[in-house]
Amino acid sequence: MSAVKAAGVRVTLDRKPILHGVDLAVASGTWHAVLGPNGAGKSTFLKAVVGVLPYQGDIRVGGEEVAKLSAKHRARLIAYVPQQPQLPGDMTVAEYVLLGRTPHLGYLGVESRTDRAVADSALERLDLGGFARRRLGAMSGGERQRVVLARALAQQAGVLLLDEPTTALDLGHQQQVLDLVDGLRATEGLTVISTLHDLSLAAQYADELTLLVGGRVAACGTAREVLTEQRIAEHYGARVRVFDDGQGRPVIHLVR
Amino acid sequence: MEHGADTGAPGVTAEAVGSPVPVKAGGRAADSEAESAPSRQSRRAGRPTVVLLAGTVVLLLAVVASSLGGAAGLPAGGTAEALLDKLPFVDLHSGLGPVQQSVLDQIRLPRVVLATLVGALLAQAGAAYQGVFRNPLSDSGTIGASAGAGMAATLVIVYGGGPEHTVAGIGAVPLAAFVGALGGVLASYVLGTLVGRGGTASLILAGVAVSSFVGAVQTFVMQRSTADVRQVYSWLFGSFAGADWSLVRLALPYAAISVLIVTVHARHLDVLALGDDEAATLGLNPVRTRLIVLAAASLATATAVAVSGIIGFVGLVVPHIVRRVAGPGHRLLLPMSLLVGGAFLVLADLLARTALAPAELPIGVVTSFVGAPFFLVILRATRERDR
Repeated sequence: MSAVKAAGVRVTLDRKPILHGVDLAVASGTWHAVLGPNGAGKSTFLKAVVGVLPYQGDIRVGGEEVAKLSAKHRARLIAYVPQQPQLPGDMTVAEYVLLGRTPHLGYLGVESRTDRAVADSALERLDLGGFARRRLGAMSGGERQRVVLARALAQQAGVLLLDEPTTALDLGHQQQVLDLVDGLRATEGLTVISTLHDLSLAAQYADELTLLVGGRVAACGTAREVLTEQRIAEHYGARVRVFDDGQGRPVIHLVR
Repeated sequence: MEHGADTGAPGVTAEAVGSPVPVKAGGRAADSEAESAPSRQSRRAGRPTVVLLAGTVVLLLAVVASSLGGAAGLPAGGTAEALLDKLPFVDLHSGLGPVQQSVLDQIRLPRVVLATLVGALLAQAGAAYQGVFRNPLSDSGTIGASAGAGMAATLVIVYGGGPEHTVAGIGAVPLAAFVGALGGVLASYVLGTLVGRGGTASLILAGVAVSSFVGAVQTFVMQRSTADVRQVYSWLFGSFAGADWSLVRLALPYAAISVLIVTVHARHLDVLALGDDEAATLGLNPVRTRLIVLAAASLATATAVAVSGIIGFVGLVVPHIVRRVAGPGHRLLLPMSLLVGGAFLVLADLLARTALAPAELPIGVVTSFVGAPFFLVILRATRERDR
């Protein structure tokens, strides 16, 4: 059964159509990468799924139509990590991660022992236990990304949307964050949808890929099916060579 | 605390003073040894209580100090007894004579209570505005509340029969200030929403535009009617000289409502600090939350302005100082702003009526004169945290 299913999704921003009928199905417990050149509508699509942008068409998460859910109910199903999350510098790591419990709280927002335990466990799983009382302003880029992931985990939603989780990270931290997400997907059965700029990285981690171009789906399938030299040349206007990494996953190189 | 045990000198005083402390320390040590993780939690839960308690003590001390100081020179001991006598279930015979008692009851106390109330309202409203706009420089001055109140009051003083004029038993000036403050915020909100879809930056810009427009109208009116300028000015810089119990009664219901609404939304403001989109993905409706808190904070500002005139700086300074001590979480920031704001304004009023006694300084002058340097000292003392 697919955890997330989108059919004919259209989004218009400032009277400018961004998405022209996007279809996409993501099986439960898998990682789906949304790729595409700049301005293809990748982030817009994620924002529509998480309910921040109004859309036409049909988006279902766990069988329920996103547009008809209350904000709170939706937040219990889908967690979202934006490309540039806002981290109030004076807030402590523990306080920030605890905000992930918001959709599970009443109007007054009183956290129970369980809420604190869930947040603490999210901190532990991302190796942030020792940072709990540290200010967000004192964290490095890689640590911040982990903190934001911890907040999303504390939300205990089955679907995790990541918008460019590796921008602003060096190579080692990119790998660390993606390994982490993949581990969580494997151990907790999370369904992951992420946009990724780096095609080779997407090929390494994602089970399936969707290539968006100009607000439409240009291709969809496994990395080998989607990432061909011809397609990349056509849609990115880039000269590339595609190699096999020896395990059936394509590696993309720019050539002069 | 271990000193007592170490030095071992079993003097009676050392034991009497020292004994309660080791018990407490021992208890805490046992807690943290039992489980290391929960000890972190218990400290987190314990600290807000300590901070709130400290805030309450500061406020009480300020109230007592302010009740004692003043032109009539009430005796300290007698006044303290008389104050205690006011508490429920306490029955003391104060040493005050009937005249002194009536000075305390009818002049000093209503003034102290009103100053506390206004300080608390302004400080909490400031903290709420800053949370709503995610901008530490937001204040009742930045979103049109003060300017609206100022213009409305000026119009009434100049054209509407002045302060003696009343409507349904309520002074026309406070009434106009109340309406003007709400009108100023409403105008800013509507304009900001029309121009920029209600984003925080456009709201602040609209507030600045409304404020300067309204300020221009006010200046024009004042210039045309120089006879009333002095009266208008004394109002524009705020004063508690006219404080009496009826003003306290007038302000109290609005104060209670606004404080309740703002306080209930403390955690919503924490979530809002992550930005509108992220707040929405956490299940919050950012626009609705902003509107509710904005309305409640503006009600608080309007109430404060109506009974005391325009008093600047409290809504800006107090939340900043509190934030340095208590952190950015609104569940501690909002109640602490109430306490510290009350204390700050009570002390400022004490200074206003004693510094040049028997003349009185406008309280707005005192808050800025004392507040600005104090603010800079606090910022400098804690600047390490900004890095």
